[in-house]
Amino acid sequence: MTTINELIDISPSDELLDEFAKREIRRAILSAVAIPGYQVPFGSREMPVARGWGSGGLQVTLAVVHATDCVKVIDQGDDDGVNAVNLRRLITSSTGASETSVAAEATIVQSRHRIPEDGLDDKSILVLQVPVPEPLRGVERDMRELARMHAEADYSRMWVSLYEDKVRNGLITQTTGYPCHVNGRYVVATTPIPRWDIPRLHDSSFLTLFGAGREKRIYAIPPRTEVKPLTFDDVPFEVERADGARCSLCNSDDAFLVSLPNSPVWMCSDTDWCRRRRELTR
Amino acid sequence: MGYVSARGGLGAIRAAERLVRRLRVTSESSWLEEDQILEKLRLLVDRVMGEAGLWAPRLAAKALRQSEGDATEAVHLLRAYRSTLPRVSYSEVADADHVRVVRRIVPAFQRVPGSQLLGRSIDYTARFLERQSDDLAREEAEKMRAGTTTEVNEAPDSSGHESDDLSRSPKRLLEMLREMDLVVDRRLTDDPEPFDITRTPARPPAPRSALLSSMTRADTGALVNQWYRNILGPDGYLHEVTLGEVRHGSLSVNVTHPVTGESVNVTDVRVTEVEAIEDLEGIDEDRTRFDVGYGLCLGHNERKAIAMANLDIACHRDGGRTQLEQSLLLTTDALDSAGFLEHLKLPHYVTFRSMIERKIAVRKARRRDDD
Amino acid sequence: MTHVALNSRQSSLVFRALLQSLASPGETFSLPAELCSAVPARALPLLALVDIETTFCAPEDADLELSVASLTGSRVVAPELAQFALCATPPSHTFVSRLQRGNASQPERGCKLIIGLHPDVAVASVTLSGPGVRPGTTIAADSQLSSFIAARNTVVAEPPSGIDCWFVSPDGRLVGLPRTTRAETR
Repeated sequence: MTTINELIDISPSDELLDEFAKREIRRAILSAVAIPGYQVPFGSREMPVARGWGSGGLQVTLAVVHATDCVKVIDQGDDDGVNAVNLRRLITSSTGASETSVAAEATIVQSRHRIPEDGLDDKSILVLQVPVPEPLRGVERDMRELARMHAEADYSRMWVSLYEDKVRNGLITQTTGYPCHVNGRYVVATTPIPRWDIPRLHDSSFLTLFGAGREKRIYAIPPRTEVKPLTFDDVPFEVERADGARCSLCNSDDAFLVSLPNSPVWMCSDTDWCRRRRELTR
Repeated sequence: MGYVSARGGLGAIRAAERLVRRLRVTSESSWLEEDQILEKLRLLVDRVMGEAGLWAPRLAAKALRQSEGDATEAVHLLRAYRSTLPRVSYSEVADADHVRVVRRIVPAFQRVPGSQLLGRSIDYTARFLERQSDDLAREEAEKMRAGTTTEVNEAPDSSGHESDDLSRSPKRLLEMLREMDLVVDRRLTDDPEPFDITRTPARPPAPRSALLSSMTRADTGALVNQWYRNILGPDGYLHEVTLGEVRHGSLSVNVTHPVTGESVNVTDVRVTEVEAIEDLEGIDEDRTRFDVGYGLCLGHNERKAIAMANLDIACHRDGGRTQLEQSLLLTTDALDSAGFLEHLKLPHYVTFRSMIERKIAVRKARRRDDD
Repeated sequence: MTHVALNSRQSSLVFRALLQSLASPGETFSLPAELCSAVPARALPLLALVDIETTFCAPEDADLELSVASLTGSRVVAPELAQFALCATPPSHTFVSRLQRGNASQPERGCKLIIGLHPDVAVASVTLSGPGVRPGTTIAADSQLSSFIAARNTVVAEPPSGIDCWFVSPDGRLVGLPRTTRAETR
């Protein structure tokens, strides 16, 4: 008896997504770029990595990547983070793309929670992994109401929440994933990237794609697009600073630093940036 | 090509993979055959296929063996494999009336045409843990296989049907209730395309087909929990239905041949199907009639299908007043929930650093205010 | 010519060009040259993007419409229902008004329109601005294209709904114009 496989001549491939899945994701990506900041629903497929672990970023990358691309994958800014390593080898082994840790050499950067300190230009595509794409989640639970708020650009509850935050705490206490207004229309969740990275989204030279696999949404910020963190005229947007902190490896104070617990020792979160800075000063 | 460190990350992952694989495949006990899993853990195989939304018993057995018995992990393996398969065709509509039952009960009535068929069920078996030694258990099994025990020589019919009226596709109780004009008729007449949750994510408000599809591949425990907390928990008041049908049987899946146009059987699947009869007693409901909730899932999984049927009618009666629909559509998938929960194990030190910074900033602001 | 379906690698290349051109409206990108001799270049975006789960139309281009449908499995529907539309030349205001624009709740339903361009003598310079646009970007437009842009502008006047366009010349040069781009004709 002829099997279905014989009829349609499926040759087992290393690909993680079938051709039609890629097409669907590509159509969603194009819609996302045409409507900056709008969360485009897509038929998110299950990947070899679990939901919440980058399945959305991975699908976006797989839809975009070509064998001639050079891919950088980071987690918390580190190319060597185990999840980044796992994703990178999945991407390169199934697509034939080459890999690098140098952002300036990469044509595609997939990242969890950071934007590389430098190196992205108009040849780059930044793919951010998104755990929760809904910026208004903290002020509204009902999804029907959330859909209405975005459709009508009614972000009043968000503004009220920020105002109350300021009144209660003396400043806006949003940590990472600071809500931003994109192209004057949609408020987006900037994934948990630190406030330090937010200014780089505004009027960037590179395209940023956001993939939320579990929530099944894709959104985009094109290059040269206005991105404004939500704040008040008399409340300046603040990035993370630690007075006097310097990276103990490369000595810089102009990169996003992370520390050891209860310790004055700081390090760059962008490990490749740190490595290159050390090489420069050698 | 730029510098890529061969530092700890890749090495750590590879070491972990080798360790897991080695311990899994080289352990002392004998090789775990797929057939053993299929036959002796059939309900687990059925549950995994149902939650994966993929009918492939042998692959489900492989997945369970690879996942070392972690059902959700096995579901993940199956769904990820499914993602690599192109959609070749659409099946013809399968009429659930054509399910060939091996088990069928109707709690709403004592006797029904087509009979109550207890079938392969432990519902009325006392839950005694069988503690005899392995050797003894194997000996008994051998005797049963050889036909030498007394049990087998007793009355030949052990399947518990109450009458001789045994139809493999018995008429539904629902049909009989309709003939008695006791059921609200919500059947659609415009034959809309079913919502495909594997292509379009469903969010409320969604058509009933989206709700049913989401529940049919939901995590079994999640559906049972949703039902229970709506009955007895803080979430709301759900009426307990009377079950009209609980069926387990096989269903043919056919496609139209692209050249000849003939209907071709591509496989038979086993399904569990439940109809839940709901007593309408709300203020603006039809007090003279019943309504019906529907549950269907792959494999033999009664608690899931029963929960599904209950929740289907509950959601309809809720009419969007609460967030029940949202809960069912968006919080019952095994992979979404488990994956997101376990993602907490990933590094979060960038976020943590940002949080500490804000805490220090708030303290500074308070000190300024105090001064 | 016998039209062929695009394989995985080819679809990927065409998609990247479409993506880049939408992210940098008004700038010229290139579809792979070797593909432009096998099919009319303006058909490449559809061949790369559509499949059994999409709808499209290519009115006044019956042969190409049939080709694309059979090669990709995508369904031919009326312009009012089409997710993708392909025109051999810039279409009329009437046609453009028929296309889906989506709405505030589902702006992604706006039609994606691909237009073949045979540049004539330029009569106008269209200045572009908006997300992705490099300052000073202009498009040289002949009278047919200018008319189309006026029609397109009315259809994108209520964001976020609208249509998104790509222009393709026979030699495979590609320019993108998403709904967010403001196009002013001088």
